Amino acid sequence: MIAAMEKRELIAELQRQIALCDDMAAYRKLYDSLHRELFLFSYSIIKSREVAEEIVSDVFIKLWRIRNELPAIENLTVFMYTIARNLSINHITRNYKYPKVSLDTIEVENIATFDNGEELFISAELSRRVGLAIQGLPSQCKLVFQLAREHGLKYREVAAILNISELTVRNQLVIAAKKIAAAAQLDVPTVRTRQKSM
Amino acid sequence: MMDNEKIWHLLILKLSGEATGEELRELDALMQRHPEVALRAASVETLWKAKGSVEEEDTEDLFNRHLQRLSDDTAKNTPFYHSPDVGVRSHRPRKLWLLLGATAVAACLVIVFLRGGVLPPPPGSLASGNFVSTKNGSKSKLQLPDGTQVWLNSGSNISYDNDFGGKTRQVQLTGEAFFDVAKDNARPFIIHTATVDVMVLGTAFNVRSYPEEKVTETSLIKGAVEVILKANADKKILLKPNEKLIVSNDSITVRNDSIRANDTQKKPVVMTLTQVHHLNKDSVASEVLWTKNKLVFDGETLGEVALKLERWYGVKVIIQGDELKNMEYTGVFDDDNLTEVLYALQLSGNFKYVIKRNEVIIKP
Repeated sequence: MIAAMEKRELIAELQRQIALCDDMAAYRKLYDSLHRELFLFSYSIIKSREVAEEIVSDVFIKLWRIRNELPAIENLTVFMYTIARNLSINHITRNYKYPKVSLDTIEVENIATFDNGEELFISAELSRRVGLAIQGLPSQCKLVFQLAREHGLKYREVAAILNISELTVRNQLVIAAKKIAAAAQLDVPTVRTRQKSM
Repeated sequence: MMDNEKIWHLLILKLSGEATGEELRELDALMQRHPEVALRAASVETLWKAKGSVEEEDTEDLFNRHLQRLSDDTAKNTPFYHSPDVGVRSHRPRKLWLLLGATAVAACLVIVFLRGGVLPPPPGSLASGNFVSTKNGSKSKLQLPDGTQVWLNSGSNISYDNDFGGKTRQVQLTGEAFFDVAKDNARPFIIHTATVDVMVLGTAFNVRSYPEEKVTETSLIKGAVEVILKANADKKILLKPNEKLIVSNDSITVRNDSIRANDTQKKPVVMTLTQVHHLNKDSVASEVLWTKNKLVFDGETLGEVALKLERWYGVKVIIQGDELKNMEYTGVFDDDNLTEVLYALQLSGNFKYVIKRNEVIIKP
């Protein structure tokens, strides 16, 4: 959580430097801070690495073009995710001739990881099972889960990016959490005993 | 059952970092009352937090690919002008952008250094007559009545009327100056030169307009300026940071002198929009290095080098042999004296030189 706070402050600071000084070094840092998450987000919708990389690049091009207007942007992270979302949806509309695309109707892929940190004894089997459970969630739910859990965004940020209500964000997360619990249930004794042994 | 739902909601708040202290206490209390849900909630919490560690990745290639695209995009969006490689050295775009990266940092430094008063305090307002000139061999820094800082390069002069700062702020420039214009949206700052007028909308930039040179250059480091061509007042060019506009002083001078071999079959370039240039990663744009007392040759012909040496050291430079004039030189000299500079130049060029008092003779 502290890391997320620091990141927020870092991004706000970089936003200032880019706007005031056209600071290319700050621009690079911002790229390093956000490109991976924007890539994963876009990839979830697009499911093509090449296109997702291009979309992230386009998001940053757009940012550079309007750098003089950056001070007026309240939450740069939300702003950039929103552009990424729009570009991703546009891409699908353009390339698949869907007249109108919404995020609920696109099959979303979510590469959620439930990896062992060193101190968390999660078996590969459990990790796989939970991953599958998340993969089985509805599209919108997967995106909400990705933004909130994987990317550490706030409810209101997730809501703004996906253009849904905060209540929906919360409800979707509850659904995801229950799904994880169900997938984990078989494994619960293992988790406990191993935790005890720590 | 109600409690069950409540636990999930509170747990989600906790995991998203949105829970208040009160909500956390409520969650703990509920979990104690419902151990069976608490157990499942705990495993969710463990898994939720098990995001693994995001390994530090090397984004160099990725970022470079992005810069390439950004560069292409920038080029695409300035269709009005000659492409940057006409009439000037062409750079590989990727390299250019890397350099630009460094530039932008440097530009920031310039601004800080302008504003921060790292330099000795300015020598006060302009003398009476509102005319300041520098001889060859000397440079000057001055402050205009509105607080604008001006670095005046050698062999240059700047003047302004008594009504400066009335409705507008207008100065007349011959030669080269770097401006850090005090912000005042109500009173536009305009620099008149023989070839262009520069309307200042932002802050820091360099104008180079020596009558003996064939072009007038405006390099923008930060902010925004609008350049109006004297020959065609309808032509207004808005410069963006790190852009440089080069305008021929007139067609006669273009035909003169040292036109580079590969340019001869092209029509004379009347106007070129390009990028400010950086000789190495950590430096300020080469166009404004002179404000840091650095003498810079950026792929310049010996003819151009000679003009710069004349102004910088207040000497007369005579080049004997026309083929020498077109050799190109690149280098940055930091407070070196004339002998050191000439010595370094002749190491890379095939010429000899003699210094007699205030005269330098360069010959094959």
